[in-house]
Order: sequence, then structure tokens, then C-alpha cells
Amino acid sequence: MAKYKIADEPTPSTLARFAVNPLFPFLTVMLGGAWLGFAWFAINSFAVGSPTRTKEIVWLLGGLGAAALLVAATFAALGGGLIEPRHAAYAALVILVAKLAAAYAVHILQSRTIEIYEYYGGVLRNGLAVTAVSFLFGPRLLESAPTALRLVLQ
Amino acid sequence: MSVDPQRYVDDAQRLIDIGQVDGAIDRLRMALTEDPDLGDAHALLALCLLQKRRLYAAGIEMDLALTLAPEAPFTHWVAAELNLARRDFAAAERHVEQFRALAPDLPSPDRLLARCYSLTGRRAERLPLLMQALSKDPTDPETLAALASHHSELGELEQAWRYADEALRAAPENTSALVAMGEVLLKRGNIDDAREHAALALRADPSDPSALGLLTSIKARTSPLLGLWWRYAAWGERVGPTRQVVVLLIAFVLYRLSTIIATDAGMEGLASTIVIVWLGIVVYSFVGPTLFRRALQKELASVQLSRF
Repeated sequence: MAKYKIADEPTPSTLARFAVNPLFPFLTVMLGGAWLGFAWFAINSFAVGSPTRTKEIVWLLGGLGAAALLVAATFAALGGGLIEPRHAAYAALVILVAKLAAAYAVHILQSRTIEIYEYYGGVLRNGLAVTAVSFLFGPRLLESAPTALRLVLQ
Repeated sequence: MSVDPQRYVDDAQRLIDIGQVDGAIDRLRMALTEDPDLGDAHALLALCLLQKRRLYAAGIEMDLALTLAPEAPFTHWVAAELNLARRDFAAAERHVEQFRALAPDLPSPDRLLARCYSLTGRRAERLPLLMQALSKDPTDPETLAALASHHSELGELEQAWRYADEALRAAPENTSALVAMGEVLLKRGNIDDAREHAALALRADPSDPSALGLLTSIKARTSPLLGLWWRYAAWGERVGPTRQVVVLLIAFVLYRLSTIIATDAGMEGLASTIVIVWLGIVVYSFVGPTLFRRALQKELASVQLSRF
């Protein structure tokens, strides 16, 4: 007979052996770039079989979508003379905050699942090395990308 | 071979009474595997999940319990507690009123309503309810402790001490009674004894927010700077990993903003210092919770040594 399942319990997949504490993808968003951190969040979500997986993916895609819209708006404002070029760095900060807000929401959703995953014996890997590598090489990988794309993904 | 699911529910209740919430969840899962329509098992499971701060799953179990056992007083008690945790005070009050109507002889609905009033700023209406609860069971340690806290908040320390003392006589290891007495002792300036009561309460339940709150107040009294750290770290323990992330998020945005400003102003040295401070915050977010737990353990150990 199938055991009674509590609503927030994860259903780990074969990728579960690669699962990490969501703090590492979150730090990667800050240190290595949103594209790396967001991808890692998504993989982690599938690995542990998060019951809030759909919501998490929507947040990640929404974060990138919002960043793309803000980048377009920033370029339009720069072109129209609404923002002076020396203030562009502040506008870039707003774009970054939008991505961080999405990462924060996913972190909250995923950390609840991870806590329960660990309670039922699930083992997490230490993701510090990956975060450190992303810190060293992540920004460099996007150096040759067009500015608009870099602003969305970085 | 199937087992009577009610046996699992009874086992779970016993486990909850001795603080074994994880074990109780396992028992309730077994009960619900046998019979998914057991209303009291769903309500009890909601209570366990609430204690583990799994509010989403607790809400689902609660809805099932309310559908399957809408006339059970216990169901409404758990629903009220869950809504208090969600800070939905109107819904909590509705369930407390139903709980009171279904169990008019119990003191706990009156006490719970008093807590609702306290949380919604109607402190003056609290005392008559607590006195009513006391008249239903004059030796109930939870009611006596609530009365002690009420008088202690008003600065009526003699009455507060009397009720806290009675609560401890009725149940020497009751967490609420220990915390209530600790609060009174702290207000009287008896810091060592207050700390001992906080530590005893924490030994019974290391995550009890009121006991942690008392201990941080004691720390703040002995050293304002250390007290600030304790307050911050205890808040972190209460809200869990969310805190770590909020702090990191704010620090990161401030770090980026201040480096832009410092670079614009040509202060490259300051920008480098800001980077170092930011990396320091990242490191602290990893080691901070461990440091706090060690400090707490040390505190508990020192009380044990002084007692035995």
C-alpha cells in the first residue's frame, strides 16, 4: 500500500545525488552571474523533486523576463536622454535587484523542500567549490557577449 | 495485516506529549495510510507540522480536518493556532469562538482568546478571560503562567511572582511557567536566577521562542553589545535560513551601490574595503548560526554545572 504523502514532501529523482543547499545557487547568482545561479536552482529543483517546482521555474523565468524588460527600458531611456550615461550603473543595479528578488523567492521555496528532503535522509553536496569557480570564471565567460545580453544574464 | 489506525493516533498523541514531534508525524502517516479519512489524525498532523513550521502542509492537513471533523473542538483549536502563526487574527478568533462553544468547560479556549486579544492590541480585555480560565481549572500551569506574564508586563511584580510560583508548583518543568518566572526575576534584577529559568526552559525545548527571548533579554541586560548579537542571532534561529538570505541580499545591494558611489568619487581604497566587508558578511552568514548554537550550549552547560 502506498504511504500517505504530506503535501510539501519532495520526490527525489536520480539526480538527487547532486542536490545542494539552495544557499549555493543563491550565492552563485551574486558572485558568478544570474545565468549560472538560475540554471543551478532549476537543476536542484528537479534533483530533489520539489513539490513547488513549477512555481520555482516560473519565478526564474519571470526574473529573467523582468531583467530583459528593464534592460530594454534602460536602453530606451539612455537613447531618449532620460538617463545620463554616467548614471547607467545605477540603472544596472535596478536590473540586478529584479534578478535577486526572483532568486530570493526561489531560495525560500526550495529551502523548505530541502529541509524536508534532509529530514528523510537525503544527503546534500557541498556546493562551495562550484560557487568559488563561478566567482572566478562566471563574469569572464560573458565578457564577449553583447552589452544587453550581458546585463540580462550577469 | 492491517492495524487499527486509532492506535497510531493514540501513539502520536503520547509522542507529542513528550516532545517527540518527528515520531508523531511518522505514526500519523501510518494512521492515514490505513484510513485517509481520520479527521483527528489530520488535525493532529496539522499541529505537528505547525510545530515544525511547515505552514503550507499544515494548512492542507487543517482543511482536510475541518472537512472531516468540523464538530471536533480540537480541530478548531489547531485551526486557531495555525491562523495565529499565519498572523490571520480574524480567522484565528473565529476558530477560537467555535472552540469555546464546543468545549465550554475547558480553560484553553479562554486562554487562547486572551492571546488573540494580546496580539491584536486589546490587552485590557485579556485579564477577565484569564480569570475565567482560572476559575475553570485553578491549577492549570498554562493559565497561571499567562496570568504571571500579564501582570509582569504591567509591572505588577508581586502578583506576577505569585502566579509564576503557583504555576511552577503545579508543573515544575512547564516551559511557560519557567519563562514567566524568569521574566519576573529579570524585572526584579535577579539575573542569575532568571538565566537559570531560561536555560531550564530551553533544555525542555531548545527552540522555544519565549525562552530564547528571555535569554536574549538577560544577555542585553548584562552587556548591550553582546545582547544585540544574541538578539540578532536568536531572531535568525527563529526565522531560519530566510534571515541569512535577507541579510545577504540587503548587504549585496548596499555593497554594489556603495562601490558605484565610491568609484564615481574616485575613492578606490574605500571601494576595496567595501568588498572586504561584503565578503566578511558572506563568511559570517555561514559560521554565525554555528557560533550562536555553541554559545547557547555553553549557556545551558553553565547552568547545569551551577545546579549540580
